[in-house]
Amino acid sequence: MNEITITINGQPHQVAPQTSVLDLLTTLGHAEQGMALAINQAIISRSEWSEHLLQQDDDISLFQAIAGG
Amino acid sequence: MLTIADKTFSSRLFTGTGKFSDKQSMVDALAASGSQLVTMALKRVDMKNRDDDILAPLIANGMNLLPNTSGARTAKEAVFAAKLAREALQTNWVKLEIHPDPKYLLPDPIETLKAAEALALEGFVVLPYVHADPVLCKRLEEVGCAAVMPLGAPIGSNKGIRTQDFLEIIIEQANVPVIVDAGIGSPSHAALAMELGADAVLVNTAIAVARNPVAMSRAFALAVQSGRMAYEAGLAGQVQQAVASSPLTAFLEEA
Repeated sequence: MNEITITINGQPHQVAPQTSVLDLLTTLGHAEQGMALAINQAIISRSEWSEHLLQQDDDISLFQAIAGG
Repeated sequence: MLTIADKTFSSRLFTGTGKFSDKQSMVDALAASGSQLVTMALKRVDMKNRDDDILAPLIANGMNLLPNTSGARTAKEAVFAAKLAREALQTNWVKLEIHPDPKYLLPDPIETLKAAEALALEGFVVLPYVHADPVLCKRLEEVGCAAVMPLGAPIGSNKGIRTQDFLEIIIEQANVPVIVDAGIGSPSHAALAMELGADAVLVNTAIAVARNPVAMSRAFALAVQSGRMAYEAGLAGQVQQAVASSPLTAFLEEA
């Protein structure tokens, strides 16, 4: 099957069709606590990560909690 | 005890997690501070360089997390950041901060009020970082903020309580907790804020960049307790002339 192309924080990525958000973040090593994600500006909550499948041209913004005042 | 929304705090010293030289010194200093509420920021993940995971030790130490919206320049961006933070940290608490100008990092009052109203309507516990503006603080209370966080001086400036007269008005008028945030550079500044009747203070830079952050944390914790105790004890008022503390018996003079 042909891979689909998405972007993560501006970087192009290839993933297999039927890849879920959780699959992607697990592969990237970013499925831990403290992460949040939006696809095409819409926030996908953690409870939806395992079911939400990535689509061709999805623009993913991935955020992380860091130190701050 | 201090109550904000659904949480009760025995420590009135809140702390930030930024600017520490390393993760361990942050964890140790925050533990020494006795703080039960710590701020965090959110950033876009750098796909090439991983940031330290500071979250796990904070959660392990039982800290309540207060994500901020730092980096937001408009109400719309701040609302989006708050929703992302809610997902990332699984809390509906948010320190709302909107400061478009990087030089002084002063909060934009108009965007802050708009965002506060929107977030409160969506069930967030909103703690807005604002200028020491008594009118704005009342408006923020009216739209449902759980507390207000007026500044003492610009963020990270360590200049202390430069807004004292206005903080006094805010504290007098507020029906929600007042947390003095930003500019507190030394324990004496924190003590002054507490003596004025602030419900809590938020300190970050002064602890994080101290030569010994753990010892400085303890110093701040004591100052906050001391200032609060003095406020509750009722400070003696000020007068222009001397008022003798000893009886004027004139014992050296002939009777």
